[in-house]
Amino acid sequence: MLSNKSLILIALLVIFTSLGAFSITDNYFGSRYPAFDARSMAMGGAGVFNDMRPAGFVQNPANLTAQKSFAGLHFTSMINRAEDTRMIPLYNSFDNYIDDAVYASNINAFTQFAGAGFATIGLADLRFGVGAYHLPVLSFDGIYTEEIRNNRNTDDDGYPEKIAQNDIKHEGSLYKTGMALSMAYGLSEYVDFNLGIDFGMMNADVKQETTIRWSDWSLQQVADGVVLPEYTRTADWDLEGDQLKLGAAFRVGPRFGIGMTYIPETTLTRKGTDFSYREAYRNTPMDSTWVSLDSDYELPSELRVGFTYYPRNIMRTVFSMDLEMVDYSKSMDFLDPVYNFYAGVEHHVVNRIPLRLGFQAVNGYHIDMENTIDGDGNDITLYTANKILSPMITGGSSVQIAKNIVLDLGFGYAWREYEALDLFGDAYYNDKIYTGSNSYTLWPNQYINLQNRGWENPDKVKENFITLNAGLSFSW
Amino acid sequence: MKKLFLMLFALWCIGFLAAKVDLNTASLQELKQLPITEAQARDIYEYRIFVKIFDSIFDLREIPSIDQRTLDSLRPLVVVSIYTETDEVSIRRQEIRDFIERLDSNEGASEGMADIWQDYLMTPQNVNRMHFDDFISLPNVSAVDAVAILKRVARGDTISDTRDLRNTPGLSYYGYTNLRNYVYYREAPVKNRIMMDAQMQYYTRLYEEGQYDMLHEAFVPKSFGNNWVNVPHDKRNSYWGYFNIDQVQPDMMFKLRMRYGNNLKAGIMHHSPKANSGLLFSSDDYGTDRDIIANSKYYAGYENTNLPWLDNTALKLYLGHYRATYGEGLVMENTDFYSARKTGFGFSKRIMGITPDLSRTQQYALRGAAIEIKNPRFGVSFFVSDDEKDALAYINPDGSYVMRDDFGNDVFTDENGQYFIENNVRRYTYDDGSDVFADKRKLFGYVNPTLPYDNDTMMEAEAIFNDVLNPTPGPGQSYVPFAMPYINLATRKDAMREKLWGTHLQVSPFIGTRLGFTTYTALYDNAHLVVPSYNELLPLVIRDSYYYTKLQKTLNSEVSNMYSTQTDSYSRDYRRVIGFDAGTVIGNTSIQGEYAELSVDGEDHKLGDDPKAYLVSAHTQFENLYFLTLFRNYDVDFENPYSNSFSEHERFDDTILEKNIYALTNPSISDIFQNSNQSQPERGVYFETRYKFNNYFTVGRSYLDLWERLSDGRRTARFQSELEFRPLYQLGLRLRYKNQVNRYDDLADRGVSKTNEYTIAVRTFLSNRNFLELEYRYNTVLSPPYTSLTNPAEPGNNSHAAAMTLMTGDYIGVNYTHNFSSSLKMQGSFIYWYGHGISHWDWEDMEIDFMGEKGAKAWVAFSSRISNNMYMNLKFRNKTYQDRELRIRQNNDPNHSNLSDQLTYFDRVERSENAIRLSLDYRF
Repeated sequence: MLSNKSLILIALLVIFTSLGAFSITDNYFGSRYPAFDARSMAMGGAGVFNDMRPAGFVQNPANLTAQKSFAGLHFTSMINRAEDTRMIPLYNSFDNYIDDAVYASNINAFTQFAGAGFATIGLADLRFGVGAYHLPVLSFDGIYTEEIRNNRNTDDDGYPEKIAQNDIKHEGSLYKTGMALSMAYGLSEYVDFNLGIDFGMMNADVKQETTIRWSDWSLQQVADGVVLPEYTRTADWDLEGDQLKLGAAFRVGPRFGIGMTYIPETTLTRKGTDFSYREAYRNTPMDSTWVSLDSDYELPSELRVGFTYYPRNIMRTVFSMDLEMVDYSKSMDFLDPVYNFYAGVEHHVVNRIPLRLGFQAVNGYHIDMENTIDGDGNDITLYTANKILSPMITGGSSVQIAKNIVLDLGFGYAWREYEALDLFGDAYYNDKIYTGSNSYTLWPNQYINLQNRGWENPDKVKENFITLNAGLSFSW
Repeated sequence: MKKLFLMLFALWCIGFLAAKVDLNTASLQELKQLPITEAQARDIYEYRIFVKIFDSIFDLREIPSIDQRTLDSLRPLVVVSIYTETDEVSIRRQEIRDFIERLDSNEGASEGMADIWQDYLMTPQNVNRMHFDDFISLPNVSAVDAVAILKRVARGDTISDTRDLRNTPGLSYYGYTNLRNYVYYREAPVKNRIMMDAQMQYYTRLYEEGQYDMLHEAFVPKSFGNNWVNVPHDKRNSYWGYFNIDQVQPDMMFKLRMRYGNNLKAGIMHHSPKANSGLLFSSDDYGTDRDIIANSKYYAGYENTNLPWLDNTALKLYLGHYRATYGEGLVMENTDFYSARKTGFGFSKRIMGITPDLSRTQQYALRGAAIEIKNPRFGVSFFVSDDEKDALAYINPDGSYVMRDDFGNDVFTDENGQYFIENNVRRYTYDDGSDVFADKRKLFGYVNPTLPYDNDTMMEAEAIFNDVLNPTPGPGQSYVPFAMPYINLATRKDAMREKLWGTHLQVSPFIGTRLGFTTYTALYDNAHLVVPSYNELLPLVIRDSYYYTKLQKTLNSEVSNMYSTQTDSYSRDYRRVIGFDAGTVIGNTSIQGEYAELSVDGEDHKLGDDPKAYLVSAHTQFENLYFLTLFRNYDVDFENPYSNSFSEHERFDDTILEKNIYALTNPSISDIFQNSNQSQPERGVYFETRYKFNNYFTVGRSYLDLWERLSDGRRTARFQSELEFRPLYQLGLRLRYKNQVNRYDDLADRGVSKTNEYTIAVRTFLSNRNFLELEYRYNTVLSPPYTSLTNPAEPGNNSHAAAMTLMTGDYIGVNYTHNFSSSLKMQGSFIYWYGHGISHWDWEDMEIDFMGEKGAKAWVAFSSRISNNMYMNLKFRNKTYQDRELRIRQNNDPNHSNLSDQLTYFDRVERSENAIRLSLDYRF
């Protein structure tokens, strides 16, 4: 049994860590949370059949009556460290693309919480259960800062002057508060069939802000009366709607459990405003656009099947593996369904202290938007969708705090690499446009050609995510 | 009366025992009847189900909820019956599990040999009925070992058990220890039954350095020629940028093998390489439909080592994909994978004859039917294959194939029909008035492409590249200045239909002595292979004549000597290779060799008038010492894609295909080298030995190789030796030294290069088979001042005068293996290296990694035995490094005019690569 001091430390850990995701890239579909249950997360997120933790029913409502316990509570917190690194292509002296050079790197941390509870009752061979939960489903969080500097003074080990600062700040998560019902029919001690249904109410309050601010130094460099225009875009929107999930879990003996869930395509309503503003400069009037948002927001359907295997092993062992199909094609017709894979193993190394290892390969879409002209010279918006794989390696363990209380810890490291268009086109910082001069005021090197980079020289984006998940389970 | 009491007492005892609960057989309900809580009963039951069968009642104390008092109260009420595993498959699997893991970890480039050996571990062969080839196909079993056993069996003796095998006169200790797990004596440990093996691997594999550079190479350098064509930097001008290969993409493999004992076998394997979409997608990222079966490998076969109607005769019959390997691999050993110094001894083995093939070999896979019959005196095999092979093709500007007629003319098509060009005039008829006609594609040769895309996808990419090379004139323009030639050579999937037949005959007049004849003929239905001579080759593969002189010093005769089916002297539609192999055993020495000839200008049935290759080796073994001497000589024009013999380097190494990718008309031509499987033309002598003095000192595998590269006459001496000193069982010290000297006769030209490599490693062998090793390596290379390697580090240009340059590099690493238990093992390694132009290498858990200029690498792998028949391996690796190009840029003038249009100069230019691999293996 742990001391009071240890319990306080654990409580603090649970409170100050949280579920998180975490990228400025996924600003339409958001980032999916790796797993709600810390044990499942340590096993790669696999656990569509999960009879070990009260949180199992959040993944699959049929797990509710498959639980070994009759009632349980679960609290989870997660902290996510997201590193976003952006690079530009670099060419060698033969003018061949050889690699990429980092120009901006952002590291941020995000936290989230979730909780769930359930109770079951048995009547002869039947068992009924009810559960409730609150958890974040998608994250729209993301923070990004990029400094625009010239290269003056670098030869003398001095800092180059800062011309402007670009910021992106996204806040908000899609939360789901729901209830699950499940019914089990037991044929014997280790054979039962569970069917569950889950109904959740979803809502999100998302704020997205993008700004370009010139530095004091830049403002001092230009003549009085010259305006270096600042830019602000603010989007503020809500999502609201309901989601249904169906689940089945079959325990087909002491060694095998098979699970399956299906979430039909979910339509949420998206309401809010999108406002962008650029100051007037020289001979150009200000640009102020206000758009009212009122549209449907489609979440893709998901089908997930998997199994859990309990072999005989000198170190007690559990192995879980899931396969999931997320059908984005219903949400946007130019997208394809993607297949995700989750696998993990738990070994009780010594004194029931488990070592968990896992792997997941999750695919998502990054959609880039580009304003261009078509063959007839008309303005068009071109969408580019890149399917992006995010592999993740996971690990974790747990501590039995008291007879009915377990603290699970899960760790995950994921990364992804892809091409994306430059977030802030370089042409904006061409001060000749604003001063009317033939030479740069803010840039010492007159050779520099400040133009927007398109897909001929896109950014290479490398992101990595370190996720720590702590879950406290009470079961009776 | 007394008897009655005794009887009653006996009945009481039986009743008493019967009333006791057997912990190993009791149901959960029965356990719940014991005076313990329901939770304790469940814990006992689950311990038995999920942890282990009880060996004794005291095992109950392993269960946290059972304390000593509970155990004492249970003692009179329970018994533990003796449990023995009765399933012979489970027993056998337990016996061989460490060997299976070792084979898995040695699988390396996935030649598929581990599958065959694992099958023989599971269902061994009868040592008293095995043939010579069966023995020498096993790892670390030599021809001398095979003869020792065969002679004993031939005398009518029957080897009855392992100890008996050890007493076989002439059988070496190494041969015995490696052989004993693959054989049985009287009764097979596992009776025939259906066995299956399902494997899956998910790997975010990275391209090797050469492939990486090839895919990054741009089609239009801005500084093309001396014209300074103003083409903007555009990442999409390379395959890498066009196909967005930056994205993390998996390499996936699924394999299912089934067999009934060693008799009936079947299997299927699907490999989806990186940059493909994977098994679960019906179309790839570019919308092209994929046929999963056509892209898979499969086989079904029958084997019988003792035919009922022919005594001591074995039969193999396979349909689908199979491998064929004979002699020293000069005529036929089909694989996509090259491995240096493949001697055929020790662990560098060949599996002789016909074997099923589910390896990742795709290009040189044989698909068809194969049969093999052999007895101790005579063996014959015959195989046919019909498959479409990928090739480097001559293409028109629109991407279509250049066609070829039977007279050696390139034939084109326009609205008037087919024509060829003669004296710059289009000719629609031949001189005799007949129509120009051609239905065969003009191909350069076999190639195993790095990119897995189909032809339509590649053609779309080439159209984009062509548009940059030779842009459409703009409005008001009639021509584009400095337009460059169109892409004229490109890889094409399934470009060549190859119908192949071959045979191998072998006679064995005495035990261990065999004479063999091998031949195969590959018929090309729809293609002509045309490789021009050196002068015509230059404009074909090199985009700009500016580079011609530069490249004259590189050895390109290997390229110009590739096999053609159409030359000035003949026109045919096949490639034929014939060869003889022989071997014998004299005392403790085995001598073997093979001679092969590729039919070109000479007569088919006459030896010595065509390009040839031969190899002879002698292997002498003692109890703790062996010597191997090997001589090989491969002609430059002996180009046989189905050979895989001993050599130091793969074919096309050091040619323009490796060294000058930037000068090629299409960077992907370099694939001929990048994925080469053949040996480089060499003539040389190789010596190898290993000697264990005693338990303290061992001279590990040491070799000296003296050879000449025949394409350019470069002579090389390479020596490597290893000394292991183990003063204590727990401590080992390993010293390794490698020296290589390359020399040209023309000293005024490329001169001499000398490489030295010194390695010291300290190993500690901890308890529970844990293992910790510290390793340090130091290298020096003395060589002429190649600009690409030895560019001075000071800012400025590279015009410093230099005679010879001494480069140094080093490497430090730590390796650790920890066994948590027999079910869970962790291996890890951390390495830091600084190469300065010297390439370092590192053997990871099951693959070799070549490391570039300067960096650090860490990897960790967990091997989990989930159950007795299910295994999982999870590996994560991070490698962060700088390559040569970037380092040179950093150390040179950042204000160079070539950099003027870049916004700034970046300090942090390095690659950081993550890779993750998950393997699952389920046997049932």
